[in-house]
Amino acid sequence: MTVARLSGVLALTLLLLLGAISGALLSRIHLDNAPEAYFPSDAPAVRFESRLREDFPPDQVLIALFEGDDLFSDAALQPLFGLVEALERNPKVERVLAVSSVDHIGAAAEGFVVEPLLDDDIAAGLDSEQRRQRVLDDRLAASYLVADDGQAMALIVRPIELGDSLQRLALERDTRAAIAAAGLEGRLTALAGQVALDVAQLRAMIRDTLTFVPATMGLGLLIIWLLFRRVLAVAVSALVIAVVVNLTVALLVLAGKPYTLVSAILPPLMSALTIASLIHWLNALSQAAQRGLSGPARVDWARRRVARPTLFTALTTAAGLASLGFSSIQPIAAFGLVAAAGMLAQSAIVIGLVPPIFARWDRGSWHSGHALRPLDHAVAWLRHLGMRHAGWVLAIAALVLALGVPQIWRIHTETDMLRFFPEAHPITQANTRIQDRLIGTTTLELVFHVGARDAFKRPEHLAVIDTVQDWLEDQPEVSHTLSMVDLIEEMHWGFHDERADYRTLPRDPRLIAQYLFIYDGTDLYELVDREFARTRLTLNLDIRGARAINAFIARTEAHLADLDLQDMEVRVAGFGRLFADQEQLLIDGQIRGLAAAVVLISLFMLAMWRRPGDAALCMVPNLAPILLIFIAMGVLGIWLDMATAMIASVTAGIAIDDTIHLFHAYRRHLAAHGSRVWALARAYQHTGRAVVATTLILCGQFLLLGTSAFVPTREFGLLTAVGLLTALVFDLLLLPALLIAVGRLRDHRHRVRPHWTRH
Amino acid sequence: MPFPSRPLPRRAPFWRVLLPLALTCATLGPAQADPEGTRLAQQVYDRPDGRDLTTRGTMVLQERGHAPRTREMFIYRRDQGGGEVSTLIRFTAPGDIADTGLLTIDHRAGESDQWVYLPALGKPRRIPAARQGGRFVGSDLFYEDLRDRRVALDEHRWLRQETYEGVKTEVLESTPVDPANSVYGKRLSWIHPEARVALRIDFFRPGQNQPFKRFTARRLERIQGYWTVTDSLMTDLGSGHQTRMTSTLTRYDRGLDPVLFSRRALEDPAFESRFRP
Repeated sequence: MTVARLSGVLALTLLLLLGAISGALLSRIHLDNAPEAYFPSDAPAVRFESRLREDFPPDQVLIALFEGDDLFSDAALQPLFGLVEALERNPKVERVLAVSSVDHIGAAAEGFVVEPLLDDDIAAGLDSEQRRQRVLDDRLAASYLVADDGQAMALIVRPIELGDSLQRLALERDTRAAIAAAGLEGRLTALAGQVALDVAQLRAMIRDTLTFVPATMGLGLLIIWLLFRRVLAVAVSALVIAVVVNLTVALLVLAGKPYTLVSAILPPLMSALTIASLIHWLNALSQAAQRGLSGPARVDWARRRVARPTLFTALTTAAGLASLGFSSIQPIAAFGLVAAAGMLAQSAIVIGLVPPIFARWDRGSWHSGHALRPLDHAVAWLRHLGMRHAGWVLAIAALVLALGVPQIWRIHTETDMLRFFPEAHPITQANTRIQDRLIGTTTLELVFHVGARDAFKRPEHLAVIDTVQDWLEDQPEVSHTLSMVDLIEEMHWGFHDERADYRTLPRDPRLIAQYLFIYDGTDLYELVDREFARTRLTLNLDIRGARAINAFIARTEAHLADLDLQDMEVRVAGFGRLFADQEQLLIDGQIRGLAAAVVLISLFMLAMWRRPGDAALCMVPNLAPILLIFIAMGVLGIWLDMATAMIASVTAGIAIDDTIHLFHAYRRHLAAHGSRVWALARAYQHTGRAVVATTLILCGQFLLLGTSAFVPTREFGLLTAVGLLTALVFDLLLLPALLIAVGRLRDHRHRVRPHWTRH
Repeated sequence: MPFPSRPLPRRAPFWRVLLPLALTCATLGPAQADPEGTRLAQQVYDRPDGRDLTTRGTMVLQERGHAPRTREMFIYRRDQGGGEVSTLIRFTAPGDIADTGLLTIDHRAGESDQWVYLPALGKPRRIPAARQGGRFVGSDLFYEDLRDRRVALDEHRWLRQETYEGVKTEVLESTPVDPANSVYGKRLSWIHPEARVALRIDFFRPGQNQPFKRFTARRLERIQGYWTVTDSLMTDLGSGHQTRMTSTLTRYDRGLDPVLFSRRALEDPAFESRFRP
């Protein structure tokens, strides 16, 4: 491959310029791991959700839980009232739900009252026990604001529509600061909800980025030093890695995509992939130096050896990554496309800019590569095994895969954002605590719609909602429900001196209309639009994973289908719905992405080898590790989720690189000498060493990610390392076996073919 | 332009909008820090507004993308003297809420009594009058907007003169002395210099610098010598939801019988209807 050679100074200048420009762009990075960032904006459920929020408040909140046996004393309540007022003044807050701010509907002397459940004025006239009893007796608030024993109390902060995770972080900090200022820190036992979860993920991804970028880069540079003992090699590698990582993340900025927990994997991934490419280049340079070449001649020789495979490995890796672009989950698609573009930029840098720098400044001899020698023995042993016992190797590999394939069906497609953190993590503990003491933090809504004004003043419509609500409350997953029927029943009850037999839905449409007419609280219009044509029934669920939520939704929809809904349309919506929809998006994206990766990589193989048989042959040792990854996930119970959904495509893209390097060398030697065995031995001797080294380095770097406390990063790191190691073993063992077996087959066919068909 | 921009005769009588008059008063009160602001507030509070008032009008709720929702009603208001004011509101349409009534007695000490009558229930029920921030029949008016707010409850500051809709108005800032007795953190009023009627009021939530609600007078008329806002708009600046109050008939000083402001009249629409003009 011929590449126009730049001067070393110009190449270095270009490299530094690229680094500076991309570095400057990083200041515009948009950190947003909010759930909305994950959903395709054109999905019907998303569009419905967006329209729903025009009428109703968001269901993503921050929940603070306060505990103690004196929560209804002045010492606890006064600071709480002050805290609610302070938070309501925060411009990021739309509403605070607490005992002092929610409506209490009840009877008063000769009348009826809608008033705060327990504010300053009301508390002043009651002792602690009376306050506790008043709150616990409130049917609407008791179930979600106060625990049955009165020793836990929630404060729910509902934000205005926040643009990104940094605003959520600011809201969480403001809330914590307000709690501290109110002197309630000692009583705060949990801060949870979607906002807190998002903030925890933001912190985790920032921490992982700050930890693993330097860690993977440091490990890679250390290995480069140990392998080549050249300061120039380490310095240039450090610069190239920094530029590629910056450039890739800058592409994300330019594409207008947010930096999410998925894209947080970009920096360490690009760092690892760049080191792998550089090692091939440095290895070739080292071999050229050992041949006595120096200066431009050394660089030209090395470039001839690696430019073509480097380009093709970049293309195939990019293809694997770009296949993630088929995912409907926005951050996964953005990750794949940006990483693919970064990979192409990386190959352009390694092929176009790095050689001139070495041509200009690389003087002196190179390390003899003794450090890699131990690898030669392992490579030779595996190759030998594959060649000598090709049939056995192929049969055992096929058997292992065949036995393992059924395990793939055991994979759970599941995403549970809380499972992204260890059990001991504060956010997991906080959510569990709130779920145990009060309500589940997963929210869902049933949206009832009739295309006529005032439809939800009609008792027949409200009765259906009431029936549905009764059924929902009997479901084990449901910890809390609320609908406009509750408010009407409370008004009916309040207007009738709190007589229990009036805590029902009145049947007189005029009475309902009149109750709703004089209702002066704030809660009603969070449940029904002002047209009374659309209303929502809100649910809190004690379940978290997408799979369980989907099962619940399916059961609910089946129940709704059995009911006479009259002219009402009912849709399941809310955060829980969007979150659960990811399950199907993940599966669809996985299937489409993997299929696209295989097709694209196969096409590149075909373009490179120009023989369908060779292209197919090279795909075998790379498809097998993907199967093994899925088998491992099935056996180990690892879920197919937001992070693991990317592994197969990423592994396929990377693993094929080794095959390309080995097969390229094999074909070169076969063309030169004609002997299959000899060509295999030489190819594995020269290239196998670099292939093993790069794979081990990549695995080391991915295993580093495996030390993350953030589960998606950890599982991505560990499984990718498993996939790459498996691919290496298959390349070293299965590929020679395949080449020998296919060669024998071809020879056999050649021998048995009738003479009149021979050429 | 419905507002008179030329100077008005001194001691020109003031309007009583349907309810917005009270709303105008509610923005004003005496100031300690700013004598000019206090004087202006007191002038607004003290303006003549008749011994009693009867209005037939409509309340139209308007929401973007939806047909307006119109309510028709009669409002009776009587100044009992000594700072006690009684108001009876009777809704007459639409049919499902027809005859619903609300009786409010504002006592001189500042407290109020309030009863609601639901015809479907057939009996009046007392409702707490202390709830300032509650929405009046689902409109953009809060109960606080319906009551006379005594001058002393706020600190007033004259800010500037400003031309508003062609009228050179006085801009007055009113801040509750005790934040607990108002749902608002602050109000800015654009006062007609002669009529002493607010042509515009911006309402602020506590601690916020941007108004969340705005009252605008759309028509100011002199009826029986009293300046009266006969068309006004209250806009929720966040949602864009609007409540338009218009008066189709306004009569002052009819000598309304005090019995009209009793629970008997509240729960007997037929009896009340005898007082309709």
